[in-house]
Amino acid sequence: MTLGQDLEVDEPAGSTAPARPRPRAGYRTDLITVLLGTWFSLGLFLDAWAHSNVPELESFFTPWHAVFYSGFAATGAWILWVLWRNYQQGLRGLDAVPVGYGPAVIALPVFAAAGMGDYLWHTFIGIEQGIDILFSPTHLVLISSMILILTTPLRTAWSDPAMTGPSLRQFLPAALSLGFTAALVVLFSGYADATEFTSGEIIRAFTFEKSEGGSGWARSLASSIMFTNLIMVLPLLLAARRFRLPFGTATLLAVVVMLLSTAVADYTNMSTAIGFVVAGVIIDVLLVKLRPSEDRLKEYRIFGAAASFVTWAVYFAAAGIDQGAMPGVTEMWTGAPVMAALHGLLMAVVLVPTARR
Amino acid sequence: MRALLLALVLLISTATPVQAHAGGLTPQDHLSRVTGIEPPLPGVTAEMVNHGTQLEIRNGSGTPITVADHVIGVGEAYLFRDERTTAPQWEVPLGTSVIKGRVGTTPGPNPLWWLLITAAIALGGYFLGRRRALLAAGVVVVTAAHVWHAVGSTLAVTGQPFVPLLIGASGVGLVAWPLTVVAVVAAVRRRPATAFVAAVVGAMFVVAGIPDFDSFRFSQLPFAGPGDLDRLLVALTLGGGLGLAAGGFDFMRRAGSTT
Repeated sequence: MTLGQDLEVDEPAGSTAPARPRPRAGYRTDLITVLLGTWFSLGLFLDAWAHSNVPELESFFTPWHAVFYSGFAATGAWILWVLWRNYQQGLRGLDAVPVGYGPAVIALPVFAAAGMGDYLWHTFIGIEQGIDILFSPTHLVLISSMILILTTPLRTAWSDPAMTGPSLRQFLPAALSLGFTAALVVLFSGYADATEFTSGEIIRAFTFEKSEGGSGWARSLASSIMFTNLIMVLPLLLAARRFRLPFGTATLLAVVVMLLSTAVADYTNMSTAIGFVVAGVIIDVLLVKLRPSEDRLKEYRIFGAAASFVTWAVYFAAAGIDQGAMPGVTEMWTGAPVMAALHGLLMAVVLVPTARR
Repeated sequence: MRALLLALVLLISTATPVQAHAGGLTPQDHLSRVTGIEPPLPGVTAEMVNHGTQLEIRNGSGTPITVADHVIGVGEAYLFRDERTTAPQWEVPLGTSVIKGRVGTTPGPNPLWWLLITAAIALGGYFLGRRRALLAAGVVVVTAAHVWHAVGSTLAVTGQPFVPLLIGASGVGLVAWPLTVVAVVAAVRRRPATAFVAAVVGAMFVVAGIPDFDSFRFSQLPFAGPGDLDRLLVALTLGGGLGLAAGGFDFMRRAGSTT
């Protein structure tokens, strides 16, 4: 922070821009935005952990809520600072809002209003402690506005025509944006979250008497795998359309999501989390080797299928190594990665139906 | 500047209540108290703690005693919530004796007076926006009021660790308190950021103070100190915050119009 002198001047958006172009946030601005968003998100992760693991959560005024809301306050103050800095440069009205920051400026008061609503909800209706957390209307508005704020650096990168093949350092704010957004979506899909399963639960879920036609656990894990697969692979497929993703993007995504997942599971799912991170490294190798993009349609689709397959193949391998045995029903643990791969392929086809001409 | 003003106004008008009294204790007009143990048990004490919501029994006698199906060992204390203690006149068996208590009710003050005081403080805070140094001084005063309120609320809670409670009670104070240092440094260096930080910190304190409106209308406040002192601290936080937000913004507007 420069306290108002020696200001970091945001770059004009585009060389052929009109006389008073919208500014574009610099790398440092975006990095601070995403780091404050990280504080914000970690507060939510802590709160999620508390809701899942602390009995008799009676008060709205918990340390976890304090971290969460203070993270929001810090992020809000920072975004206002960015606007004010541009105002000092002579920019007025919407011209003072950097490219990509507009949705965040709207989301800040929306988040604040939802926070007020959440307080009233907790006070008059009660504090949620189960699946109802994920369906509370105030929570859904909170999470949606959070995602709008957190994806700000991604929008900055997306709108920068010069950013096509960024290094990991250049892409870091956008990559963290993607990771935290995926983590928030995973958090609010807790009823179908395969990352929270422990290795023992994975083995037990896919071990059942074939004559009984399956079990509730088997159905839960199977549907969770398919749901979680979409959440994990879609951000990469989306970003790969626009950028030549640097090595480390998929690993970073996995690490951020596992940061949340392990907290919510009270660190009982560590082998599963390690599996996801290992799969992230392999997917990064796939990104480098295949270089998927809209122009390389075949590689793009292979990547969609392969990234999904790798994620779940490693998932079962990690569980098997940790437990010393694979699940009893071979069709389940060999077929689930194939099913996920088909879903990944389908998503790749839906996102880019035809090659760009 | 209009975008900035809109964002500030919306932040204030839709403020998130992230801070109030620690431990989930709330202001009220009634308070449950222990009047005595009959017959007395030498070495055993009983009192209502946590703003009259929980009964705490300390066993300093030579033998274990039983209350609410729980055995309290020698030298131990037991803290629990018992619905019986909410009756106007109540009794809870304690070993061979009984704890007696009653719920007293005291009417709250007229909140209009405190709202007027808050409005006066807000007006004063706004006029601090005429000078950078005054803005910084105002930020320090309002922050001190907020810190005092948070600490006093935390000290009113029994049976929970201090630091997590204080963090919970501080809410946006986790950001606003350090920013106070930034405001002072900026003022000393005569930087224009002083007004910006004052406005933002002021807006945060309005957010922090809104849930404390109840302190103006109830007689019994969960605060380690006189109730009127807590009300004054809340008025300083709310009114001072509002004044700083408006005064800081006005300073920025005036400074901006010359650029």
